[in-house]
Amino acid sequence: MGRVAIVGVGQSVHARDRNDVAYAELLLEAIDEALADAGIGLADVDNAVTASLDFYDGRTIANMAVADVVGSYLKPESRICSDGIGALLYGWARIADGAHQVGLVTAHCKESEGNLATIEGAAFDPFVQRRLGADADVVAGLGARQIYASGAFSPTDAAALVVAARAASAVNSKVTTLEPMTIAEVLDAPRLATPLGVFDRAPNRDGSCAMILATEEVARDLSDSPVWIAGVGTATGKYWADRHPADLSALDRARDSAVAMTGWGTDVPDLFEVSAQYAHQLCQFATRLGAQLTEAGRTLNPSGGWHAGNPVTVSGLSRVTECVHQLRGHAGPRQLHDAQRALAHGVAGLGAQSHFVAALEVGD
Amino acid sequence: MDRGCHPEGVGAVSPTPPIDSSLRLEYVADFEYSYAAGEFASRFMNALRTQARIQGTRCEACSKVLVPPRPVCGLCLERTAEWVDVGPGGVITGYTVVEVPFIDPMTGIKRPIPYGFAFVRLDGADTNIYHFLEESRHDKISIGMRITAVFKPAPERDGTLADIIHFRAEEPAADD
Repeated sequence: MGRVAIVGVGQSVHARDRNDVAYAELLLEAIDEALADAGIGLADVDNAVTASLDFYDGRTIANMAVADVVGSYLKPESRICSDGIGALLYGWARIADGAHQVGLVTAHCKESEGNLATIEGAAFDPFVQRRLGADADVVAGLGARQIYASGAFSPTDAAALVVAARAASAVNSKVTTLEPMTIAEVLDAPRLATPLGVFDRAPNRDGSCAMILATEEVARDLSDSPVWIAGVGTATGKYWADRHPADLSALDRARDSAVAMTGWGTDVPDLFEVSAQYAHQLCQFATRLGAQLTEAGRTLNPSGGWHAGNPVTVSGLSRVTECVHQLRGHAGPRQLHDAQRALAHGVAGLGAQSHFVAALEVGD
Repeated sequence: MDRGCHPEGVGAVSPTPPIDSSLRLEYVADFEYSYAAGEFASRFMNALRTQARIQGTRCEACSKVLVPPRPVCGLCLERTAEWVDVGPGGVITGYTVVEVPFIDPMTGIKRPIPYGFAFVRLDGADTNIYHFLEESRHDKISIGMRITAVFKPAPERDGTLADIIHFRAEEPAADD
């Protein structure tokens, strides 16, 4: 299996409402930045893997609407209806198995354009439960109650992560700067679905992310210090209603697969970029991946994570982007000292059903 | 009866009472969207509404004019650079006459049948748009036939492709 590197990353500005651009134009912002970062053109790319969700884009087979901007005419293009980090894993496989040399991976979403409760509601099983009208917040509220009741984490633990994310947004130029907030303010905010408050859910955003992957040969030609994809893993757990929210076996499986491919042994990575749309889940996922919650805003989600403001579908790929910036030493005011190894995590599905992990490193 | 003799019967229970398995479950959802048109579609729609002009973008690499306008030429993988006027005349490159009605998304009611529907290559364009034809008689429509856009009066235009009512023959048919 060939070695695969990330040689270019790009993101649009993620904001509440990107009314200034149609979604193909939104994606183009990220693609242009990733190509410029890699120092190549779209013609140098031999395949594309895109991530998008039809219900958010408001058209079926929505990837066809971005075929021109991802340059996939007469090239192999595949699309996943999941988080963009899943597209990264797919794009990695295409190059690792020797079939392709340079790949474009993208994710885009505009949460501002549809009715989120209706879209989320369409994810429920149509036969028995859907007509009760739940949405992702209700599922998360049920889960948060079980997690807090178990004593594993408290609402204060979760609120501290929200506070850190909002503070980090001020030093992340790709997200909208959020008003700073205290733990008490997060805890006292209006409730969404108890025990969750309105700030426990990551803010709704429009945005895009793009990445260029390459073989070792191409990567060494383009860069003196490529970021290597050292390991990948993904797993899907049981449907949310059949699974206790403390059951993180899918996350475990994804992490173990990714780490087993690396030469890291039991060493702890230098940074973790972890996805969770709800703050109690971030407590769970970050801890299970090996991060310290007290490091939030530093070695845990220096970018601010999903709560600093990314759309669904894009969050996981944004986590990878931050890891690349950190490992290259190009993270500006957020830069960590001597980051060599990173774990990026993504999640998809009601009640966090599917998990994705990418292990990234720099060095020979 | 000894069900245990039959592998397919292991664990089975008597099917009583009979189940009506033809149950259907209705689900109605109203998916509302408010699409940001973005730079290219906005400019195209504004030109239609305010000036009754149809515009495309030209690819610098292959010189092709793309209508509707878009930011990237998908084949050359280059950014389009120049805005150009196309039409309002053009030729039919393909057509059909719709005989089975369906709900018109613009009005929510069925459009009266029959009606002509055509691929139109506007003068100056290298791609087709599709639109309604004024004509619905097969023997009055042909590939290669010249047609022109009929716009709504300015006060009625609202910045959608429906600002073009339909396309009609440039020259009236001989027997009209």
